[in-house]
Amino acid sequence: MDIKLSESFLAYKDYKYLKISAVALIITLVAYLLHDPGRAPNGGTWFGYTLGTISAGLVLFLGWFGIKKRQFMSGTDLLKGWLSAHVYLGVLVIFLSLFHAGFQLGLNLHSLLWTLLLLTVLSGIYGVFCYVRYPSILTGSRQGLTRAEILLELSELDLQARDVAMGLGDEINAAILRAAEETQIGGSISKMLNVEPADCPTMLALAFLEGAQVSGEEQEAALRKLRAVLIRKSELLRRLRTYVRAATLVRLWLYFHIPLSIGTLVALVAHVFAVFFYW
Amino acid sequence: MAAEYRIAIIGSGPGGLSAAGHAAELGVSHVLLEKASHLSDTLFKFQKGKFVMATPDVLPLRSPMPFEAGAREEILGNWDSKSDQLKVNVRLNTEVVGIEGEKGNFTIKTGDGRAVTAEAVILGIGLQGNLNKLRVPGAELPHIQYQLDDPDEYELERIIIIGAGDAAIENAVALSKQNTVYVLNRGEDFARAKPANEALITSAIDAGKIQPFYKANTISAGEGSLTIDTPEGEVTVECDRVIARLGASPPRKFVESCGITFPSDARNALPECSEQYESNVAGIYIVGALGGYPLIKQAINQGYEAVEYILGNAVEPADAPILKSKISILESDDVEAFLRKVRDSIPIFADINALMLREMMVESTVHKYVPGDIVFEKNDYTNSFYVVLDGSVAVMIDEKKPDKRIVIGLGNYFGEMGLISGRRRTATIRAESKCVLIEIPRRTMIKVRGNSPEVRQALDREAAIRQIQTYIAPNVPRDDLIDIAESSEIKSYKSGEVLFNEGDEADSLHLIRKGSVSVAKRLDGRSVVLSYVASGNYVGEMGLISDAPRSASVTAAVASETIRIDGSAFKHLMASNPKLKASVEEKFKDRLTQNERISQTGGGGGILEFLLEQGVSEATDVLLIDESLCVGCDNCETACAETHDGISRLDREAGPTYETMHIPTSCRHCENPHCMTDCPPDAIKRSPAGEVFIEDSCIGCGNCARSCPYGVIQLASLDNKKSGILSRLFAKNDTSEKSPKKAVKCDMCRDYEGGPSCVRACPTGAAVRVAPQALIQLQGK
Repeated sequence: MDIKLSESFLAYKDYKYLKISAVALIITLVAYLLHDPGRAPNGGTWFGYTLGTISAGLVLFLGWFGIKKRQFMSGTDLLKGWLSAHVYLGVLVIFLSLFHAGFQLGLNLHSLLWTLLLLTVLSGIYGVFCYVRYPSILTGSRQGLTRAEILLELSELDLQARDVAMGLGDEINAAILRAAEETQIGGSISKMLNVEPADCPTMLALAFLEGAQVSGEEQEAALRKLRAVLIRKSELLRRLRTYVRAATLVRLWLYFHIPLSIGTLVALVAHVFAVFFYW
Repeated sequence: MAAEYRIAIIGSGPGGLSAAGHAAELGVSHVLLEKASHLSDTLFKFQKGKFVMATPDVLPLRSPMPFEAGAREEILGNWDSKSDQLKVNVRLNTEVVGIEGEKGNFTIKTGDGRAVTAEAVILGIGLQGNLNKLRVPGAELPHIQYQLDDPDEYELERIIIIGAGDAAIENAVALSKQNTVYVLNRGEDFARAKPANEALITSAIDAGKIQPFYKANTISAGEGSLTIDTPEGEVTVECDRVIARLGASPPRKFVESCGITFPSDARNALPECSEQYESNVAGIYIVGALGGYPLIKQAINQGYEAVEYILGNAVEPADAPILKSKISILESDDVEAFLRKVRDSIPIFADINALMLREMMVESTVHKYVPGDIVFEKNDYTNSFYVVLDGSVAVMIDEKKPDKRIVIGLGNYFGEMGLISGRRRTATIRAESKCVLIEIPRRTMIKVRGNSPEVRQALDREAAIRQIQTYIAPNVPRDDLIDIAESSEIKSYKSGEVLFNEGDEADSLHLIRKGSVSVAKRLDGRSVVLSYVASGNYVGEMGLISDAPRSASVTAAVASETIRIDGSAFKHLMASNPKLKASVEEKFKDRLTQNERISQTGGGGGILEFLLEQGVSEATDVLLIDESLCVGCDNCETACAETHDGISRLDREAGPTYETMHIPTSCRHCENPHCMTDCPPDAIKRSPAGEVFIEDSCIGCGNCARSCPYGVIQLASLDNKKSGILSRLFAKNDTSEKSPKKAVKCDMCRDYEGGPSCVRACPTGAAVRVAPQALIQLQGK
């Protein structure tokens, strides 16, 4: 926007949560270096327990975002503030939990928890990347049109193409018909992510027209017109597919982030249970 | 010989039927004569299914005849059964052709050559029995009609509707569903009609469903055709049917033949009656539209009262109990004395007629305050009008300096700016002494002003003085402003109309009192908008101060009103008032700097033009989406639906976009809300905090949705309440009927402490709500 009215969740309140996280990280780092557990640093010292409790609290807080996001009725705070905290504290928890464990990782339940946590946070960081990268593509690809308007224009172009093709040969008509009836936007994940699918009937029809033989000036004019219509259609298709790809990517990471975070919560319960009863 | 009946009632409309019902109820001998073959012919001829309003809402109904707002069929059915039940002595198909005789012995002659005699007559024949007809050759042809009962009766016909009033529009729009419809309009627009109807027909014309002829007059009618005169010349249009909706006028010949006189020769003049509805012929009473009471409820009450008067009973007017309750706060129940006092002590109401004064008081509130009480606060969005009936109040000019105030005393008024501009209150009002105030709702006061030229003039003159004082010259004593106010004039501009052009001679200053304007300058051959000026500010001072031609063009951004102040008078005032001169020069310098800044940066890349084009200048709070942040998650819509009965009042994706600024389809809470202009139950309100919202009294007529230029109002059934998991699992399939549709729109989540849920629920910070003034001013920074 020309006029800066809005403020991104990353910059919320002048990067309040980034600052909080950074300060918390530095304090923890200094404390970690100063603290002498008397043996190899681990989660079982008072310092380790303290960090573990804080980390567990943070994980619960991060998970609470999923609920907060759906609480529309109450509260006076902005969700973007919560998301800002969610992002920065999420990164912080990776470091805190490492300090908590004294960097002891192995093939055990506890390290499974940390691995899940790390994967959750990494998927989240990728999500932040998507949230920064794709909005402008979502807008740019539509050029002020809504999806419905683009679809409408596509079907109008189909009608036009079929009209123009009337006077041309059967093969051309068949290709145009296929382009109108079988051109698909989205579908499976891979199709949603593919902006220029090789098997797009509209592209195939366009390629077919390149080599098509017609006779007479009238037919040549029609062929030129048909090409123009199809080029316009393929441009629109590309734009809509670019939109679909961006809209897919901006959501797709959540399909990893959320199951991973649930896995993390389960592993956290197991970790706490194991620590207190079987250590 | 004694007359056959005590009372003869002519016409079985709301007034006549109510009189007959009351007479029957009392056991008074009576006869009800009706020309048609059914009761209440005017209502009977309403378009099928028409929703009939019962205004004024607060007026109690005093009649055996039931009446509530509802469909035509329902009301007629109730009346039929009630008159059967009361055994009203009715004679249908009986046209009255003359009334002779005098009080105590009237002879009423009927069309079948017979006559009835009665001691008194109630004339309730209304106007609709005398529809205005076409006066052109061929007007008697069978394809020309003057009414339309059921638009669904006609299919695939070519129909010409003549007229541009509400009836003509309602017919045209209803018929256009399955017919080819032409509308013949003598004028250039449909401004005479109710705003919703105007919007309805304009959109039907834009959509090509109705073909209009403007500035057109009928010349003649032929078999299956109509010849009309248009600006392009004479045209003969073939048609199956012509429906001429030309209004109605009193059946003057008949009324005069009864001895009743009219005050003037005008076609629509009405006979004069006493306060007890008695005409100049003693014993003949006139009720309903012919007597000047066009509303159904008024006529019903009149019928009842006329019977009481004939029987020699004094009855209080129907509104007396309401008025009594209004003045109970003054520990008095003498309504007449109170009304006299209002008229005597408040100059602007000195000349309004008794009926209008009563109606106004019925809708108003009487308040008593003690010194120090706050009447309203600065920046409130309330818009009622106040008059001081006793004591005085003070306008607090500066909150921090309590001694800076203007005292408004007995007979004076305040709050009049709210009638005009729809913006926040400009100052706090406190009670100065013990005082009595009458608070008149905006709508009522606008009606009074519209109907009474005296009130309008008095208000306009005083408003000019006060607005000049408030917005331009706060330090100048009121008396010094009288001359300049006298030399000023109030100008109205349509959206897009030019106040003055760049290069024009600078002869005046415009104080914007309603709406807003944009200031543009030509730069490198294109017009660049330099600024947007809202109501409460003035434009045109630059040319006056620098004695140069206009440096920029000023155009109304929305429909606006300005006080045009004469340039030389204003210069004169500045010369005698150094403080004013300094403040105007300060403004001049600011504007010059801002204009220069914007010119040098090339005009802000057109974002201001975009905002003005989208009508943002008339908004008070607009939802914007920063598309560089929006991920399209639609959590805003989900939040809106969750907090509003499952129906989102915003459409994120729809709406215009400029660069990355997107204006989704969502209410902007306009300064002068279009939706409010024609709400039959008056259900659209503005809260003191500024939100425009719709109350439960909505009848779902859709007027507001049609009036809104931004398409933000939808009609929806509000029974989508979320049920609990158990009831969802075990409840039987609910196939009951949906509740009737009502208008729904954004209410800025006024019931939620946290403010608009769309903004609260946006995870990325893309959704923001801003006051456009702030937005537009930011641009110059």
